[in-house]
Amino acid sequence: MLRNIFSKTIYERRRSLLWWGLGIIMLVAVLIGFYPAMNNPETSQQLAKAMEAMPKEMLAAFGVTDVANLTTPAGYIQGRLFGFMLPLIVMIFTIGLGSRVIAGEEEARTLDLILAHPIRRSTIVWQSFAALCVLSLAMGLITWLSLWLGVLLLDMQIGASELGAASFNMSLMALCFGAIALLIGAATGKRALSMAVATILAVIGYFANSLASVIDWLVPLQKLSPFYYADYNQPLKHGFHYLPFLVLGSVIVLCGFAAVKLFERRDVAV
Amino acid sequence: MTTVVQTTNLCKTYGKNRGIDDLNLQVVQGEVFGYLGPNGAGKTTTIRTILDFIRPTSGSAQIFGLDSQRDSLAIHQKISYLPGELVMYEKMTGREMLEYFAQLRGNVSQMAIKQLAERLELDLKRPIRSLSKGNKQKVGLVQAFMGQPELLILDEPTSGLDPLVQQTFYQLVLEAKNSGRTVFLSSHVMSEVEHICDRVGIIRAGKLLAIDTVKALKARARRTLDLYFAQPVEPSAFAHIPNIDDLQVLGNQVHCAVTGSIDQLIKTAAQFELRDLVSQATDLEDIFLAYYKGEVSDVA
Repeated sequence: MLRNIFSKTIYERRRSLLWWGLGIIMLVAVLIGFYPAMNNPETSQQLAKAMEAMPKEMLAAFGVTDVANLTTPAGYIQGRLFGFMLPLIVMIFTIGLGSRVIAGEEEARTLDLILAHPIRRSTIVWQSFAALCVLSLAMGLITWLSLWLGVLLLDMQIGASELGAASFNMSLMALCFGAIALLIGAATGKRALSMAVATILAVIGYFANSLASVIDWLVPLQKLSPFYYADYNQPLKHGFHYLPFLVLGSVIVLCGFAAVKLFERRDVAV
Repeated sequence: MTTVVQTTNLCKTYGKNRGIDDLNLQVVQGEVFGYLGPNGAGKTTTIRTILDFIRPTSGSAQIFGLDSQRDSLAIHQKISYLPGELVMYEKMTGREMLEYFAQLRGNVSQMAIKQLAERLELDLKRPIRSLSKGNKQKVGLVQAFMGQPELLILDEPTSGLDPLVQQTFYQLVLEAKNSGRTVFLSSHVMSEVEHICDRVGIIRAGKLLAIDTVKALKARARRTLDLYFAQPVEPSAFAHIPNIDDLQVLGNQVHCAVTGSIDQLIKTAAQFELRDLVSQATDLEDIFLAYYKGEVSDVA
């Protein structure tokens, strides 16, 4: 299990993956479990009324953009899970890991021992990067499987491929911020800084996307937000689309290349 | 003799009062080189520059004739390193840790790990976090010696080790030397350097003050002498000797400190009837302190 930096990183994070994965499963179970209660016509009408009374900006900020749709299976899963809670959980995981792999080891001073071995700096970054990708996508996989099971049990009529597309997009989006954290960590060696910058960018990206439906001047900026691509073309309704994969994938790979270049150039653990 | 480490006008500055200044040192194959200096003198900076963790501000370092920056991969294949501030993965056991490093290095036999752990009386089954400082250091030592590297770079290797384990460590260094390997070790413990090193470099405030064999450094050392004569002597009789200081004459007793050769002092003293002569034994510590205080300034 400890053959290289890639497998060591995954091995080391196995418990963390388990706990965060359990968190996702529980979140999905609880929210899917409440769906039948929401789906009842009386409740849904009451809910729609209550929602209409609320400021649209506030609803948008919580990822609810389509009040009428909130009681359909796809609308419910989008609004309740993919709109806020699932990305939040997965991003805490990816940003935490992204800032830990290089900067965390550097601050802990374990990186010195690794660097003294016959291993290129670029290899250190790429293997850490690969571990981050695999673990982030594993979170997406857990999301997909738990949603699929829930949808099957409650007969919610959403296909596995649509759930898969939404879960995949969400994990790519979270990975984007994880890759940004890794990049800043590799460039500066400062773990807290990389975590803070990635988190701030995630918060900005989230609001730039969700508030664009109510604030006009945000519309052009929305397209810069990874959140926009996670929900692009409504994956829960229309399944996989190449664009989010292309855009988010490019950002992630670019972060990797930049991380390698910047890490190769600088003094480590001064 | 093959040069293993060669630094040429090596400078590294960051911030103020730190780093190394115009460092020229050479370590040849098969020797144990002691790099001596107080904390913060630049020992670790030198080592980390040689290892390409940090890049020189100017100058260069060659290891096995290869450039420390351009050929770092090839260099790292032939070296091992023990950091001065050794931190390992707390959750792993000693064995997991060492197997991980063995994988990163390649060509490490399980047997070597087992034998080294036995010699150092290290329990490999325990997680790193439960180990004392000394036992952690043992894991670091196994890591440094297990790959049979051609050059061992050890930063303060004996810190935290009890005297018995230190003896085992000296033995390991001697074995490495006898099989033609080169050892570069830094220390602020003079007795240890004196004990196992062939040559010593003394560094203070980023500058190399002296680099020479232990024997030669001792010969250049400042020592104190007390001479007892049959009759009172005049201070002026000794005043012309250039390499003495702290001259005190009390009746028939003369006290002074000599740097380097005592020949001239003894020849002067021999003109009188000498009853006794007491010389304070010199060890490297005195030399080191003399350099450290800036009392000796010539660079070999």
